[in-house]
Amino acid sequence: MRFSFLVGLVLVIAFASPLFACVESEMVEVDGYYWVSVCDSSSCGGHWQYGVIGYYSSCDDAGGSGGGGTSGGGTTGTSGVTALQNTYTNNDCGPVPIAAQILDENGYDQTGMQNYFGFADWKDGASGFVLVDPPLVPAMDSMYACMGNQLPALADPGNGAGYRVPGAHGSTDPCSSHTQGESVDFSTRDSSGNHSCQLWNQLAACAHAAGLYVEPWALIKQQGVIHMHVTTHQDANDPSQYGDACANP
Amino acid sequence: MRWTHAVSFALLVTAATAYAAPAPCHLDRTVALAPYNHPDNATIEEWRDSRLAVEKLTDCAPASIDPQSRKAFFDVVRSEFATSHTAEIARWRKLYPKPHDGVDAAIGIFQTDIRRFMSGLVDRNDASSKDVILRYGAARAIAALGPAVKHDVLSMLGTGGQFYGLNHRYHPQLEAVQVLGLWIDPANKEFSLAEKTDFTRMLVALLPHVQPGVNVYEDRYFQSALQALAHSDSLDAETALASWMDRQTDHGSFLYHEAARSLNAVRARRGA
Repeated sequence: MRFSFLVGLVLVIAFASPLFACVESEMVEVDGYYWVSVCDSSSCGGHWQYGVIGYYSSCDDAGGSGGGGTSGGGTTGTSGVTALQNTYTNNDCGPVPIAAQILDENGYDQTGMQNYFGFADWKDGASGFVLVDPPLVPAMDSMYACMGNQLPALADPGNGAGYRVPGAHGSTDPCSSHTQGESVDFSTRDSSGNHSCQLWNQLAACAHAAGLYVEPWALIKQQGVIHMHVTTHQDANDPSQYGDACANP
Repeated sequence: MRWTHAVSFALLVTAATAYAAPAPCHLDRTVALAPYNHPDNATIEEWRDSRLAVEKLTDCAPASIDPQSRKAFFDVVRSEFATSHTAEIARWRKLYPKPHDGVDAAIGIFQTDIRRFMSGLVDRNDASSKDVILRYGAARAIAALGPAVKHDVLSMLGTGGQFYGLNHRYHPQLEAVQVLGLWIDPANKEFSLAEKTDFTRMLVALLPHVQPGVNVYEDRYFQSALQALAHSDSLDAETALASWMDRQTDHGSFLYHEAARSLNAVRARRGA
């Protein structure tokens, strides 16, 4: 299949090279079904046909491959598990999860994390598998109770705010703690949809109480997009380190 | 006389307040678009200030946004998705070599935020920004333009679309198939029964081709088609979904789960 070969070639180049070493942009074609309209004098119909549906530049935005690419490889069955394991090896993201750690929707729905985030939100793009770091689940239980039996939604549902496929967000850190299922990016918009520094502070306190590391407010603000990143990957930090969102809005 | 004084004072206070503090739902065009004018060497601070300004606008009710800000917002959307963030990400990485999450996560959230906001913002009066909405909008924003863009949406289901957004995460075809879902919904009164039947038929005709694991894009596309069918109340959709599920052997795949959710939704609408 032309798609597999082209994208495979691009991914091999991307994974074998240092980040941002994309020297020559290549337009990568993606195959899929597209609608062919057929009209006669009285009406219009059509049919689905398989072929090139679109393209992207292999060098755009540091060569990530979440949308049109093949991150995660096959998305179901044993071949899908192996393909996902290969993304860890190819990106040098250890430890490579064993098959039992790689969860499809049925497996995810038994972790306890589904009580807070649906599989569609937790997964990354079209990858049909996810990881959940077991200690993250009781931490979410604790945060949920601390927040008055509620938690905000993920900041970027279905796009790596929960689980993240190694290299699929091929930019800052292909082996982000999200790739081990250890981190959560929360939206800090309140029930009316507005950004709320009070909510940020409350979430931070609850995450801290749950033993999680909270990405410092100063760093979040510097990015210009208000959200919250918490993780089991690092030891819990002191409130003086993660800061006060309302004191410096 | 005293009443006149009081009114004058009130007007003065109002005017002074308006002068001192611009309406919170105004987007400063210069700040918002500054980094996009020179993305290869825009500073971290320029990107930060631009995003903070736009994010603040997304806190506003659409009706409270002035026309200039509305236009500036659509220009930001166009610029955001036409701009490569490679240089910014590289600069960030140099500045923060051990990032907790990295600016790419923030960029992804920003792109999600502006598309979500656009979905609540767009109405029929945005015909002048139709090109931006069709090119970069999420399904709900496109659907809000209504029958006037029916042929545009059908052509988006065809070939030649360009991926856009961080990590090529979006494609017009993915949105178009979901627009059909919004348009076949019984709550939608803008399309005739015959048109809804045609749209449903198009979605149902895709189902025999749906199989998990062909490639990443296909999985997303099939998922979108299954989600679109969840809006239907037709027997054809119910039969097609049930038939597709009967043929599957992998009941753990997310497409299987998606189909099950859609089938339940269709049956609930049909009172089954």
